[in-house]
Amino acid sequence: MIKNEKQYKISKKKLKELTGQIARVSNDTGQLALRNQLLLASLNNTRQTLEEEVAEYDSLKKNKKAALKERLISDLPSLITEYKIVSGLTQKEFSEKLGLKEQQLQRYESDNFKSVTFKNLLRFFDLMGLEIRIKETKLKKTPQYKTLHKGTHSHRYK
Amino acid sequence: MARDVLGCKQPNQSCMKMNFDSRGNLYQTVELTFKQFRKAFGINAGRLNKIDTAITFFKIFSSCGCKTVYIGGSFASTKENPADIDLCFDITPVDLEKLKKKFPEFFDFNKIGEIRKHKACHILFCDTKTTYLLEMLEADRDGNSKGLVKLRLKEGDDYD
Repeated sequence: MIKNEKQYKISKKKLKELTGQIARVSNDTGQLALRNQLLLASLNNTRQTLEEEVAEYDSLKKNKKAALKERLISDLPSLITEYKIVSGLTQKEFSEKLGLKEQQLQRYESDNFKSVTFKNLLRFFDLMGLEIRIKETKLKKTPQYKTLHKGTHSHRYK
Repeated sequence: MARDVLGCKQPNQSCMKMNFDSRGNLYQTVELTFKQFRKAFGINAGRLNKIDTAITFFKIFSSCGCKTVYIGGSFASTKENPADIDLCFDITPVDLEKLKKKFPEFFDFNKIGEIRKHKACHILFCDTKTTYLLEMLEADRDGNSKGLVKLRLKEGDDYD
């Protein structure tokens, strides 16, 4: 996921370069056709993925309602990043509003908010105007619980 | 000392002393044996699953003459649970006709996309002339340079 304007600009630049590379390989008739086909398959797939990420970022900037929808607690990291994009604030402005250093916000984003403190998490909620409500569900185990359980299990019996 | 596309040194004991920067990325590309790679990066069940998936592709490409794969993305970092694994195969020595006959899906970008989606494995290719995707792996989303893991592939290797 593209998380900020800097990454967005870099991704746009890479898209341009990829398009150039695709044209270059396509026109390289001096090489084997199969070699070009193989390289083009991976270049095109990478371009498609990058295009989707850029489109997702553009969409968040345009469609502000899309981000703030009900979701699982395990999706919280992307929610915070999406909120930041939707808000239109820069990394610096967003961190200032939270009372955090810009580098701290970057660290949180780079490790998917694993190291976020409860105090800072409440700051995010406060800024986003969100609250957590706990409700009983029919789900006995969340996908994240299953992953954790699987990891512990296999480690224990290794 | 033999060097390759990335100018990486051959494996030696110092390769196991991998250095990561403050973002958790490798400072430079290191060449590892498969055992070293699995020990250093297969640190939990999720990562080991991705390595198992990667082995399938190592076997496919080595059976067609591929000798080198570069591993990048967040898998080649200290990230505990990377979402996927990026594999860039050097196709310079690959018997392309054999590959096309046995595994035509790699020539179709939609099929590569399906592998990425369903197997959490991003398949990339490079050769001595076209190194753009390999260079792309050598930088993170913020444009900071980072190293990759280089593995030598051998046909018939069972990767135990």
